[in-house]
Amino acid sequence: MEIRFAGGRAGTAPLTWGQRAIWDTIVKTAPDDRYFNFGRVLAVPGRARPLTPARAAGALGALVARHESLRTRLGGDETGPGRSGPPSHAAGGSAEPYRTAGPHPAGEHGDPSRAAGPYQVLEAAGVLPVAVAAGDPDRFLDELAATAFDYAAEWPLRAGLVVDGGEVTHIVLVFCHLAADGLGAEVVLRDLRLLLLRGSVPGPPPPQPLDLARWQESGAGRRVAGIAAGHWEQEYRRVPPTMFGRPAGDAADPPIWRAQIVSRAMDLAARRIAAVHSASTSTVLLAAASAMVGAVTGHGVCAMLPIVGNRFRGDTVNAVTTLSQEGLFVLDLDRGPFTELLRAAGPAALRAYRSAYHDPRDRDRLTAEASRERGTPVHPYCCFNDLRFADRPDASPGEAEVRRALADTALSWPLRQERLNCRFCLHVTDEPGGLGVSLTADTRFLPRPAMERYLLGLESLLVEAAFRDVLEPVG
Amino acid sequence: MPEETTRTVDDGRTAHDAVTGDGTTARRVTGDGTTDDAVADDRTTARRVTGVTRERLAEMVASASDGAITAGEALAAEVPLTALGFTSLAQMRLIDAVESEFGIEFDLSSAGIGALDDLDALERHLAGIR
Repeated sequence: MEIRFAGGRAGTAPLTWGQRAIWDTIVKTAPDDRYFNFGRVLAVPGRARPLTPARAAGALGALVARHESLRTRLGGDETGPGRSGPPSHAAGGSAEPYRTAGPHPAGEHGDPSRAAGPYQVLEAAGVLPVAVAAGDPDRFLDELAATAFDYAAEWPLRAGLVVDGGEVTHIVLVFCHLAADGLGAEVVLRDLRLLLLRGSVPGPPPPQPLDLARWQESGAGRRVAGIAAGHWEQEYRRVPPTMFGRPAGDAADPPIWRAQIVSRAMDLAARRIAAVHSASTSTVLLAAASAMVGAVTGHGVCAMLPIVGNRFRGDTVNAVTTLSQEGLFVLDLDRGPFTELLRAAGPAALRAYRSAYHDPRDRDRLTAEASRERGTPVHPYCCFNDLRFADRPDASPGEAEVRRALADTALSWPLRQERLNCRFCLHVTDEPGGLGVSLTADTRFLPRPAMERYLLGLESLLVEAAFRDVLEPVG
Repeated sequence: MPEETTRTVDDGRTAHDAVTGDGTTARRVTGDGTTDDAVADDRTTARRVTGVTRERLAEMVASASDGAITAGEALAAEVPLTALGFTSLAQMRLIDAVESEFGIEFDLSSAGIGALDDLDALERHLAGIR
């Protein structure tokens, strides 16, 4: 079926910093860019049932009218109409790990359509196709997410209705990452739920990416960008040019593998350390992950790129758009006690979070400058993404309980693929069995046995540090 | 951000500078009451503006923490704000709000970050920047 939607306004604007960052990443990952598709399943709330497909479609239409991001596509020469997937010149991957930024497209007042790079195109009205199927909603989601978006021609939302005897039981949404990040998707889901239950969403209209892009180009936006850029500039002069630079002998086929550890012991330990040291578990994990990178690479300084939500400001907190960007987390590993490292990790994390709200064009320029000065490409190729929504420090678990939980730790290899634009990616999630930490790595630089040792070493460092002052691990 | 607020804060900084050049000392001088009348006038200004700033900072703490710490609790706190549940997310919101409202770049060195933990330190930090 199809949904006709009509919103308030149409318009064009430069890409926001967040859109530009994810677009650069999509281009570098093509043709495997379906990797960035992600989705959510909303079980129709009891009070909204029975729900007919027509009413579900009405709610989806109102949702797309409310959030301009969901009716915004990519315009510009580099996205050529009719093309499926990112530009063909980039599909072979970027041989250079860093690029020199071009001129700022559109400028402050220019017509974005005349700019060299891609820009955002908001449409006031349109028709959104909706798939209807019976069966398992999660499988439906996987099907909807299976192919890369056509960023210029396709709406950035794929919607599906799961029906049972004419009644809609679940609504499945798959997002193009240009339109939303994980927290943006949560806002979408919350609003869809309200639309189903009440027919409307209370409160003022949410912030929209078109306005955000215009603010980012303003003097106030450039000031914020300048503070962030200063951090990248200073640290890129001193950090190891890359964290995983030494090719290893026994690469796997295909070269990219993911190992995941699910550990209740690590969850209890991280929460205990956080509570005892008045830190967040995220900072505890960043510190421990950095120490372990030092242990496996021998570097005395760890540079890691945490993915930061960038929803600290009033004009971003409830926005449906991609705001997440990489920040630069730098920690000097002095081989002292872990608690000292953790103390330094607090301010280092805040500096990283502030540096995440940056203009990727500034970062490209500074990276190129630092690379030129140092005579080698500067890129950590080492990232960290904490996808959990809650942070719950808790000092209560005892050592015996935590050690007992170690017996339930499970390690699996859930994913393998040909390409990735990074060498070392940590993802932190809440899993039913405990804290999930996955490591997606390029086995040409970190072979599978070393990946496994890394994850188990991380667990063991945290469990030890939860109950006694341990030294940072040395590889 | 309302322009009025910015202007008041700017006046406050000037008042601090006129008296002592630093917020810490300003409070100490205000407390001992041994200075002459001319300075006392300045002190009154400083105290008034300092009070406004401090309350404003407490409101910003409350807003940054989504009300987990009320402005009243922030003003009365005798332990670090982190001990009251001021998370790193809340710290980031506060840094952003302070940088936007006062047009400054917050010092996020290990030394500077202490200013996020209590209002006195934050007030001193802001006074010291100008």
